Amino acid sequence: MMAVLRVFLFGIFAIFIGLLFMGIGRKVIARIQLRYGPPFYQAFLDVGKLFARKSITHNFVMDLGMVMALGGLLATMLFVPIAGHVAVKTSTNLIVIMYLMAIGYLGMAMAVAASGNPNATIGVSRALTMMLGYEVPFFTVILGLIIVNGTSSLELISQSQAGSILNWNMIKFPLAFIAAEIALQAMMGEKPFDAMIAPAEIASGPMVELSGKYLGLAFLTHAVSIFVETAIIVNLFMGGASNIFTFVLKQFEIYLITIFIEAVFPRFKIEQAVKFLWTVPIGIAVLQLLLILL
Amino acid sequence: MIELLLVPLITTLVLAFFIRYKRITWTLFLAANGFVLYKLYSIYGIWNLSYKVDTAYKILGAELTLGVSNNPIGWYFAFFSALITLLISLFSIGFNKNSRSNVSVIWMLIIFSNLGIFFAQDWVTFFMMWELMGWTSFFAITNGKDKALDGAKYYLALSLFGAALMLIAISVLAQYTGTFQIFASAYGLLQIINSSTKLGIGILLLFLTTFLIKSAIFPFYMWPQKVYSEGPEDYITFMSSVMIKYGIYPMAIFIVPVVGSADLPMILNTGNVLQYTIGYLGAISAILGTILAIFQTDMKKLFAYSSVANMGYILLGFSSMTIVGFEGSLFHVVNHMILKAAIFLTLAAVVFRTGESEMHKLGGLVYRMPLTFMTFLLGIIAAAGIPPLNGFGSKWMIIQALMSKRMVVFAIAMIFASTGAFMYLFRALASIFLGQLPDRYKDVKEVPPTMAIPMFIMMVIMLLTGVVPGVVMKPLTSALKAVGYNVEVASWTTLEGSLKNSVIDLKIVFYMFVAGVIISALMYFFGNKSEKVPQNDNYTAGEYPEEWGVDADRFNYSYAFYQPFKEMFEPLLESVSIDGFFASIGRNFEFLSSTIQGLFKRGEGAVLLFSIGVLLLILGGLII
Repeated sequence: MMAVLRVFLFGIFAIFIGLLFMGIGRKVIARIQLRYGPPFYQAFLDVGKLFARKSITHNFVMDLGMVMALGGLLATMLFVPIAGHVAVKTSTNLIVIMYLMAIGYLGMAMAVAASGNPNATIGVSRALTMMLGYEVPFFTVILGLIIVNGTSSLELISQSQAGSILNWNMIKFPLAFIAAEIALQAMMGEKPFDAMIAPAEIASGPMVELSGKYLGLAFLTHAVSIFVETAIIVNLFMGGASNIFTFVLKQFEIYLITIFIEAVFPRFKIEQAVKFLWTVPIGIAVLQLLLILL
Repeated sequence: MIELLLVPLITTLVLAFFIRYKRITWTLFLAANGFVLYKLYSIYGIWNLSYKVDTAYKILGAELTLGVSNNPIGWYFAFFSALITLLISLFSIGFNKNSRSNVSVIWMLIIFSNLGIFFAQDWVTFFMMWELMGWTSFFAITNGKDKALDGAKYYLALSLFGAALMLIAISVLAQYTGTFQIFASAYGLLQIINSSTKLGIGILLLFLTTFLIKSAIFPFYMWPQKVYSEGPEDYITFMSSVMIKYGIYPMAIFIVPVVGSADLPMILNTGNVLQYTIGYLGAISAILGTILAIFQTDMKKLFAYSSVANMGYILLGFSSMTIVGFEGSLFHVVNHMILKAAIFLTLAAVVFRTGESEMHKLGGLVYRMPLTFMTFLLGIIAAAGIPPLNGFGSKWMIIQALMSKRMVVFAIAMIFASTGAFMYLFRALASIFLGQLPDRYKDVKEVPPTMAIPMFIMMVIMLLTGVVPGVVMKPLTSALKAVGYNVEVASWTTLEGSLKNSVIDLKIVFYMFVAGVIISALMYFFGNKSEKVPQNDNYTAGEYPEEWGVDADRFNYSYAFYQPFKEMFEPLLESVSIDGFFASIGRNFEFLSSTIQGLFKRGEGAVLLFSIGVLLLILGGLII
């Protein structure tokens, strides 16, 4: 019973923090662009409104896919250590986390492709291409850290940086951190890597046919993915944290960096994005890997 | 032991008599496969079973005995391929109801050779079975269709080339080691490598080339797409799941032990030269197979290249030469068997109902064939290696092994290939099953029960192997232990990696996934009601196209699905083409043979050729 409650609490916590970040992110972007911007709790209002509205669906695959999307990302979230706490007792294996994340994306892609709108499918095709673009540099970074620590457990990697700030992988392996940051930007689908959303081109791509609670579920999925991705970076490079408050603060710092970049950059075309990801971050990551190996 | 081989052989003869009566042949086919599976189940653990015929002959100084024996790794391969074959043959009963030709006779002969290969005790038996499998599959692929002839010829030519290489290797090996026994000659080969390295490596490479051809590893990666796109779909299912593993089995029992313990120059203290050769072949196959699969428009060709990539993973696991990598590879053999069979069965079902295999001409089939869709969905989740299903465990073990051996290039290749796998797998899902249903497929129905049941069982097996990997890992580790590897028998749900603190419990992964879905489903039910509307309602923005005097158009974005990505790779793929290279060899060969034929056809030429032949014979006699 306790375990069930714990799992449930972790899930709600991730959704809450993710939505909070989204709201603050919108405010920050607005201020950078000299607008007033919505209040920081706007994301909660949006989700509340979306779940209260009636919505349309085309077939059962859409329902199944949206549930699978949020479910997959929540499951991933349960494997990520948050300030030393994990929802269940596991070895928090990085490869498991990376693969589990994919089921959420697959569910989302399936749901929007089932909506039958070509714009959505174009968005998915771009998103998957982008995925191949960022997974390779991100994994190269991870590979370096795994080889240094001799383990693929995220918890052990974060524990190995305990002590002073000088033990953080961010300081010890700055090149890896830069490469991971660029990959993270693409992973979150923020500018300049937002070709899959591209509102002016393909009408928000995947979201084009979603309405009501389906869009709400998509919002929640995005919130959880923000939480999971920043949490992975914090564990890998910033040594985790001793309490949850510090952990969330560190996550917020990482999110703020992506938001700053998002606010000022234009958009890459998809092939430009993949070429960029396969030259600059991979180059940096491989350099770091060579420094580690030799 | 011998009845295991005799039953398929006799069944072949019986089937040949009843070839005109489809219902009888396919039922008999199913029964024979059931018997084989039962028999294999009953001989598990009795590793001293054998049957052999001693001939008094000696060839090349080695005694010629033909024999089969129950060898643990062979049993592992044979049992799971028999299981898959049984399911496919159940599917075949429904599938072949309206087909004109009957492939069951040849297929039964292949099952006979299949068992022969996995249980062969000596190279001569192995070679005979290998050859039998080679030419019979030619007839099974063509199956009376002229269109299939090109691909089948290509396959046959490669098979014959491989068999010739293997024959040379076997005879040289027999001459140097004085034995035809597979396990004894592996030990002999190791000594040859340690004493005269070049000769030993030469023999090894001859064997390796043969096995690479059969498993479609680079540079022989072209045959699956040529063959799979033309052959009868149910047989192709068998081919892509079982037959492509024939090269892997001898690699596991012969090449890997030899390479692993050979004393060869090391690279960066991580592995020896041959190990890296195998690894690079695997890595290139994985990457190339993935990239080519992304660009296919024919669904069978797409999954043919996906098989190439998966064979690449298996080679990568072998190349690590650690026990985790080896177990992972052998586990992946069975996982790939299961998931590829599931996927190809659904493709066969789609072709059965629509007669179409070009993906961009299909679409929206989920509304008509939901069960097929579910099987396909689970199949691609498994093929992408996503946790709650099978395919993940084995890939995870292989990556663990590569990382612990610090083979970074291979690990990155593996990740590239498995992320690229999402791209082509999702493309297949979206193009075949999702999107809008074309008008001509309005009346398509779900497949009949005889075809639906095997697909359903496949789903259950995929989920079971994914959550409880012990169903495969337990027999595997017991088999490896029986052969003499230093392994613990695996537990039901946990997998052990080779890095620090890397034990994963797939049961927990499954529970967490279920927990995530439950929370998400609660959210879904918590939201306001949704209304089901036809696609056009939303799509045409509330207008009726008929009122405008036009028909509602269907748009499926599926033909050039990854066009920007393709443009990136076009220069590379255009400049390098192994297929073009083979084709040019073929052309030159044709030119040569027609020149010789020209000599022969004119009168004096025949005399010339005859005298050259006689001269060669005499010279040969003198030299020997």
